[in-house]
Amino acid sequence: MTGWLPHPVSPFSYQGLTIWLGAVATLAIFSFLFRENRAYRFAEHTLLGLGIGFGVATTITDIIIPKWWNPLTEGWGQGRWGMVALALTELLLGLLWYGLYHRKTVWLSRIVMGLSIGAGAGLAFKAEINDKLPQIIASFKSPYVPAAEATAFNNPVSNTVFVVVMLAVLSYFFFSVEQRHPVLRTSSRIGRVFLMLTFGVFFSNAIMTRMSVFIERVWFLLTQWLRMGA
Amino acid sequence: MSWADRLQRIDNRILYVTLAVAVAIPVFVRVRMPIPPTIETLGAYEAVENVPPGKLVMVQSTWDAGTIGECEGQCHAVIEHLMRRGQPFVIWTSNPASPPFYNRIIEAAARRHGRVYGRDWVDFGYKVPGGALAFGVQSMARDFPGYMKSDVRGTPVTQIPALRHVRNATDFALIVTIGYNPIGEFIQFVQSVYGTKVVFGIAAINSTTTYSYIDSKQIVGMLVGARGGAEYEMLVKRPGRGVQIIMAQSFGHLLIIVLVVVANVSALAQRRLSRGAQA
Repeated sequence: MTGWLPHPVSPFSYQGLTIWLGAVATLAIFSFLFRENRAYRFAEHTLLGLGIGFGVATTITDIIIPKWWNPLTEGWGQGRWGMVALALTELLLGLLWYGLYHRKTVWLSRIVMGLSIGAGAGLAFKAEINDKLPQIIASFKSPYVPAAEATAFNNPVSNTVFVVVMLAVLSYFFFSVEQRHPVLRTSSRIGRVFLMLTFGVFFSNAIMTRMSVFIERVWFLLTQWLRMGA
Repeated sequence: MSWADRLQRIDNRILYVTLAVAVAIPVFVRVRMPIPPTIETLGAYEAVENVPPGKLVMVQSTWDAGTIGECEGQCHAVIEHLMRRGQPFVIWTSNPASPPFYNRIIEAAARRHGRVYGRDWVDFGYKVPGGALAFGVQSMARDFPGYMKSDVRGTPVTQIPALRHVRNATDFALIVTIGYNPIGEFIQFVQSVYGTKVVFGIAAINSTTTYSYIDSKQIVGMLVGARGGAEYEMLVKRPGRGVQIIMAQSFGHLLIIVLVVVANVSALAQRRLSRGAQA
């Protein structure tokens, strides 16, 4: 950053060229804010193509080769047939997925699909218990906390607010009986207000995230490409 | 056309340009704002500060160009803190696009503090695809050398000085995961099973639902968006990208608040004027 007037970086070096490419791509994407145009479409499709190509290439070099090909070839070379059998079984199971593409072989894909669903369900069960159980336990909060034990997340005020909000929101989602009783109806309405507040927080956090992306690009254009700044 | 109508019909493109100008102000004018740390950021800072000397830290980084605005500051601050303390760490990712971004930060910090690869940090690169994290994280936590096998340079885990005694997740004092989404698998399969402490560095958009993890002590700290990065950078006294972004963001937010007020006032005025015209 060396001044108030733009003096773009030279494109005749590797680093300069990458900055220029980045700047042109950024401007092409931002041009959509003015109107739909070919520069935007070109940048969008280039990004998609690059992303997919890069993802496929790195999955082959960083995952498939070290995790499948190397054990197979090493096992073969060293006569460790257990490793070879494991790698070939993995290959067979992987190939079964392609059974989806023909009517007569769909049944093959169902075998591996069933295995995946079973493993996924088992994992999800374990994950949910480990994820949610501590939160359920933590939700049993006492409105009374001795002053010596009070912390930012555990004090009489926040615990009381927590319990009221939790019960109100839970009552909003209580659909087992019609919400005619005045207590349930009031609690449910308060719960709806708290939910609206939460959605407001979600939305403002979404703005923060999008804004950060935008700021980073504006700063890139000004400070790295045009080399402006105090 | 009344003034209220005119305000309601401002061209979006004018608003975009105004926003770009607002966020560019700190590029031209040096702005200083107080950035006091929040509880969740302090939790993350203290978690790193309290890691016993020589004990390993695991950093999992999934951010890339799309989240650089929020996560670069977080990663910069955490790496700076680890390198300054000489705390050995391993880093890996489930996003193939991430390594060039975190390596740039690590290499700069290593040069500043004279740290050496293999002794002070180890890079495992892209090790687990995002869709297989549940399996990968569990395998890694159970048998780290067996799952990771070798680093990005091809050196087997058993031959890397920093990792000679590593067996499973209990050999890591802390896990820091930085990216757009929190990697819940560290809570589900590592913290809950091995007791390893976890810190989240995440995009603000995903932070709302993760505060409950702090309350339930499943994570010990959290860096929320650019704000979290800026606060941590101030704590380690090395302002960087996080502080830059949060300064610019303050101007952007100020403009948005003004626009929300203007839009609401003009909408109310428009309604009142049209009622007056009908009467």
